[in-house]
Amino acid sequence: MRIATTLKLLVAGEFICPQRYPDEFDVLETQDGRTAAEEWLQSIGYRLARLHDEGAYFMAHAIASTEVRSQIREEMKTVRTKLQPVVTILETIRQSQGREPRVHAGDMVYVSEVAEEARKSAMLESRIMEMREVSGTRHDESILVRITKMMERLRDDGYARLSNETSGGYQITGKVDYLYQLIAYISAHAPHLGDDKLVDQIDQADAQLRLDTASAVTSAGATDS
Amino acid sequence: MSGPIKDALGALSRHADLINAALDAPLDPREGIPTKALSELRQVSALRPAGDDTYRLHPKLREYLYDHLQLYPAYQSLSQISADINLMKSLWSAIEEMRYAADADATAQLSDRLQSTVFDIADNMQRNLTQLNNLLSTRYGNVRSIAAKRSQNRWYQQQSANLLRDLAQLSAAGSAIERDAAAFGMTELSRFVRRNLLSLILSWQQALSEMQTLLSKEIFRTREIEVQHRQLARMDTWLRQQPGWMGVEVDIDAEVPDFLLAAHLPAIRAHIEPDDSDSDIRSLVVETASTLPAIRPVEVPVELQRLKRKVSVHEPQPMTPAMRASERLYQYVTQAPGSVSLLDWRKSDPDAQTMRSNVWLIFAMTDLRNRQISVVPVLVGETKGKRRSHMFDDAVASGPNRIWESA
Repeated sequence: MRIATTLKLLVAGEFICPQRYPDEFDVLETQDGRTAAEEWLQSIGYRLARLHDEGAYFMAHAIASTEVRSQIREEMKTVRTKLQPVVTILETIRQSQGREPRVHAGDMVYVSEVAEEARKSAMLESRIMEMREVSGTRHDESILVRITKMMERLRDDGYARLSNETSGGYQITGKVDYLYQLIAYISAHAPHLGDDKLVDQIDQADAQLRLDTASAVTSAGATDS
Repeated sequence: MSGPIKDALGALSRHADLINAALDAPLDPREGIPTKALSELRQVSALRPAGDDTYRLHPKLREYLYDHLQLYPAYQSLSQISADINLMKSLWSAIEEMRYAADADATAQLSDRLQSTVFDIADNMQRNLTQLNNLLSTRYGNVRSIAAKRSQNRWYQQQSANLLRDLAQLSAAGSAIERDAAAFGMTELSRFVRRNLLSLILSWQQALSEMQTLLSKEIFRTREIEVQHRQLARMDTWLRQQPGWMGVEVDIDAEVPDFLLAAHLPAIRAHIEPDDSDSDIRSLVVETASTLPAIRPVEVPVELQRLKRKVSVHEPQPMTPAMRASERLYQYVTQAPGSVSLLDWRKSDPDAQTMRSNVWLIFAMTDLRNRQISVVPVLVGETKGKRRSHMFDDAVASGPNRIWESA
């Protein structure tokens, strides 16, 4: 029965979207399936939530208790670990797509297309080849292999699924909305992420200065709260 | 079929390729298009002049082809019905005049024309709804640029808003005609307007409202995507510029958005059932099985065969005359002080005489030698021509006493 698998995925913290879990998503799209999931999750102290009206389903805390709030606060203090690999990879893909970015749920990303664009742009190529977020890389590997590893990293984190193995096509999953919402939330709560605080090129001394500024801003935020 | 229609359709059929090309771009004779073909198409009004020496497809023919093929190029306008509404109103005014003038024929003609206009309006509305539906369901087909998508969203939102206004006008005009026709006693026309126009307006309005909602959502979504792209780029820049930045201090006292409340529990150990066809469960079974240690061959303990000692009880064989004779001979030889002739001894023993002398001789010799008694055959004398004789006619046994004595 699909509802059993659906519940197990929800409990495991998976985002049930039509791209990655189509069958389970269909279960939750039916009235019966959704009611069954809601009732079961409610009985164990959680609830069924969605990222937006047509977004992925996931399991959420039923009540934002003091303990849960405290946990979220702590997680936000170290949110970089959650953002770092995915943001870098997605932004690299976005840059490779020029004026027609396709980095949203359901969009297809082909390794060969990204590689083709990277070969045309030295800056993009160096960005990809110098990426430290992808593990298991070698200096002498081709750009195609490196991009494949990038996409595999996204797949492992649940943000993409291998849609066409032959052509190296990956489809962005509904979980990506979680990332965008997280970024939007951070942007709303971190005034230093405004346009005027960011520059495209920085030198080392400037980087140190900005590091100090960031620490000062963070400290100020901590004092305020 | 009448001649002119046949000619017109024949010309279109003969130059179908040119019409196909004209659907995409105006035809330019300088690009090698035969003048005769252009002339024929112009004669049947399929082409209209456009600028200097170029020709474009007749708008109605273009519209017909788009409609038939359900091809909707970018920024295709919806069919306007306001002109038909005005026409419908004018026709009704003319009908009223002819009614007062008591001109039945003119009234009938005008009535037919009005009914035809109502059908045109219904057709156009249906076409507009199909077009909007197709464009929205395919998200404007191949338009991939977000800016172009946003622009098209706005274009069709404006178009559908105009159409909704026209529908309100149509509803008012249709209701007036239906009411006045009934008052005039033109019940058939009144019923026609009610059935073929007024009863459909509500469903058209609902469909258009739904599409407007969809368009609004699309516009909102497009804007949201643009914002998300910008925020993604900013976040990436921030992470690169601030390697020491780990996170933010946020105030969670206010309402917490759902995504922040996303939770997970320790993985549930799957309860594997043999008839579970779920692919996840199957892969879990395979994975679990692969982590198990290799199966060791079961050593079957070898059952020791219990042997029972078999004691055979031999019945003492009855003594034969030969056995008795050989026993007595052995006793005799071992006790005799000298050599004993086997043939001579045979003469004294009745058991030995049961055997022929030659048989006895071999038997006795073998028996005594087995018992370690020296037996020497008494050879027959040498015959002429033979240096050695191998024949014997007696044998002499020497017991231990005799051997000892001679030693």
